[in-house]
Parts: sequence; structure tokens; C-alpha cells
Amino acid sequence: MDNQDYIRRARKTLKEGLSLGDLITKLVNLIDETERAENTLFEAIYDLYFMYYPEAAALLKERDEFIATISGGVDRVDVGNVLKISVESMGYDLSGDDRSLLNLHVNELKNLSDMKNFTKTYLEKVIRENYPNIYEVAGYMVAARLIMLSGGLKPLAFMPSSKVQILGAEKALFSHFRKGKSSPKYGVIFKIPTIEGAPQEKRGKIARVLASKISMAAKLDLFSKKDGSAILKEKLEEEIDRIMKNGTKKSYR
Amino acid sequence: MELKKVIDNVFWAGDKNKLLVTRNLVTGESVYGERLLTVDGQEYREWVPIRSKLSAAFHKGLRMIDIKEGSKILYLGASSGTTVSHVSDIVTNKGEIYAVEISEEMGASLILLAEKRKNIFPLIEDARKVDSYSKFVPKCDFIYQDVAQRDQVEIFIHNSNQFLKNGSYGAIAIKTKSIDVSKPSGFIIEQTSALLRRNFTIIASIDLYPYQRDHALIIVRKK
Repeated sequence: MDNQDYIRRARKTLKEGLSLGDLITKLVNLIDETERAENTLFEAIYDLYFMYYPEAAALLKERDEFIATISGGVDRVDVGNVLKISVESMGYDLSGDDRSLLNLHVNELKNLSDMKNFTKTYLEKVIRENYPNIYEVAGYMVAARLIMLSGGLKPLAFMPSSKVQILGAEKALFSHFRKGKSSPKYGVIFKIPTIEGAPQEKRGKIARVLASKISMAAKLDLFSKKDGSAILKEKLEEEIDRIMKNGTKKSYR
Repeated sequence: MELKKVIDNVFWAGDKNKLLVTRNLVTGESVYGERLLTVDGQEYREWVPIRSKLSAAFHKGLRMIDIKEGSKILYLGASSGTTVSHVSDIVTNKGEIYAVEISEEMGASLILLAEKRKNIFPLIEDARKVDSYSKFVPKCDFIYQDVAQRDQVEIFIHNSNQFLKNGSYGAIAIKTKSIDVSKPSGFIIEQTSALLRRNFTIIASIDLYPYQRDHALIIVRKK
């Protein structure tokens, strides 16, 4: 007996099993991993640079700022002029060779950073074209993570919005079930600026409203492909306004 | 080098009989980076115990298992095909292996393996959903299961009822930590054996330490 038929069938199963959702998952992983690499590399390069020019390094603790400033040239003269600080330093004097090595590393870090931003822009395009409604309500990164965690648009659209609200907070949810800790109020949707920027006591409520709108957006994307996000966003703003106006918890009882 | 036969196409090689090998069905091909060695013009593949639970069982004293040339085998949890490739060596082209694997990423390697070895019949299916592949699998002589799932015993019983010939044997590799992390290994193995006893006679239960931690291979015979 020949296994050709089985191979053909299995190949078909694999091909049909893969979808846009999988691509998005891989892209999100790529972005996360690049970011991780970027941070690791940044730390090592920062330490080296601190040894050479601590006065400048102390001002450039932010990763992106550091990369932007010293990628033009690592010499004290260049950086000192940009930052308008004294070129006289208490740091260790690196030789020309040392500095050119450092320069190479900084360029590599910059490439990595550019690569990440490029991937992010691409992911944004993918999300905007395929899931316009979720994109408008949640933003591309949160949309992508929701797709990743739920396993695709269809599972996301069929999910109760209370689950959408806490996707990505499974650990907290289970410790709530098992140990009776307080339940999580938000998972990956926390990264939406509306929640992140809200005062502590309103975040849970806003998360709930947002999750319900994301659910609706997912259903719109799945079933109609029409862009109904304008109405969704309008309603969302209305509800968030209401939450922000209502002062204390008591008014909700 | 002396070869000592264990079962069909499986041999102990080397002076201290510490090296388990199978006769390579596809000459010149190493599947997962294992060593190839040639004895009297015939090529053999090393069967690495830390990569394969079945090999670990042989290293831990398993003497007999009802897999031979020409056997039809249902293999649940084929993964990328490490152990499958050795079982494929054993049954040769006279036999058939129906290899079920749920993961698409693992399945891709399995399909690539099946393209080289004509006795492997890949099925990218969920072993819980027997109906989805029941028409592609005949009655088998042996069932091997290595799925590391909480309900793996139920899956095994289900598949045996459907596909295993009466009086035939099966082997179930238990990962005790997948069933319950909080309980000791020995307890889980006892519990599993008790479940299996309803439908099977237990022939042997082998702890795979130190080759595989918290794993056991239970060999059963269908009543």
C-alpha cells in the first residue's frame, strides 16, 4: 500500500490549517523578540559607553534617545556638542580602535531598532487592511495580540467580551479562581491609551466598555467587512464620558 | 562489532551492549542527527534513549515488545517523527505505521519524513476525535501512544476500542507531570494502571528515569 494519498491529505490539512491569524502571531513574536534583543544589546553597549563618557550616558538613559544621539558618532566631541555639555570627561579614554568598534555596535543596534519599527509599520498595515474595525477601536498592536491569544478572528468574534477583556491575564484569572485573589480587570487591552491613561479606579470600567466594543468590531470584521468603526467609536466615547463623569463607585450601585 | 538481536531489526551494539541500533531502512539518511554506523555492509542508526521513550524502555530492561516486521501500528502523538522513524525501521516496508499528530509544526516534519519512508502514513488529526480519521486507519496489531495530555488514558482507551485487534498489545508513555503536577509520579502511575485494568491486562510498567524524568512506559494487552 502506498502512503501518497495520506501525504497529500496531510499536506492539505496543514495548508488549510494556516491562516492570516498565524502570520500575525509570527509577526508579533518577531517584534517582541527584536525588542528583547534590542534591550539586551542596549544594556551592554550602554555600559561600555558609560565607562567612556559617563556625563553623556547619564543624560541618555532612555534607549531610543541613546540610539538616536550616539548613532551619529560616538566621540565625545560629537555627542558633547549635541547635548551641549563639556567635552572634558572623567571617563576612561577609549582609543580610536575602541571607538570604531563601539561605532559598529551602535550601528548594529540602530539597525535592529529600525527593523523593529519597520515590522511594526508592516503589521499595522496588515491589521488595518484586514481588520479595519478592530484596528480603529483597539489599535494595531492590541488587535494583533488579541488575534494571537484567541487564535484568529473567528474565535475572537465568538468570544464573550468579558473574556476579551482579560485575554492575556490568564495567570491572574486562575489565581483569582484558585486562591480567591481579586479578579483581573484587563489583559492585553490595557495597552490601549484610553485605559492606560485613565485614573486607577476607572480603568476596570473603561476596560469593560472597550472590550464590548472590540467584540462588536470583531463581529463586524468577520461578517460584514464594512467599516462601521465610526459609530462604534462614537458610542465608546459616550460611554467613557459617562464613566468619567460619574465620580464614585457608589453612583453605580 | 558484535550485534545482539533484541527484536526484529533492533540490536544491541558495542562491547558493553550500551548502544541500541535499528537497521536503517533508508540508507545514508540520519533523521534527527543520530549517528549512523555500518556493520558488515549494513547500515544501522543509533536509537538515542534521551530522545525516544521506547529506546529508553529498552535501556531500562524491556526485552520484548510485540512490534515486528510487517506489523500494522497506530502511533498517537507522532511529533516530528523521532521514534516513528525507528519504528519504521522495525516494521520495514512490509508494515504500516499510522502516525497521528495534532500540531501542524511537528506535522510538517512528519510529512517530510513520510515522503522518504513509504511505511509511514501521516494523519494530522486530533487523537481525541477518533471519528475524524477512523476511515483512514485499519485494525492494528499494536498501538503506541505518547501524547502527554491530561486525558491521555481516555484517548488511549478510545483508540484501542476502535482500532486495536483483540488480544493485541499496546504501549502508553505516561508523562506523570502532565496528568497532575502536584502528585508524586508513583501515585499517578498506580492510578493510570487502575484505569487501564478495566480494558487491558498490564504486562509491564517501566520507569524511564534517568533517560526521561517523570515518565513511564506501560505495556498492556487488550482483553
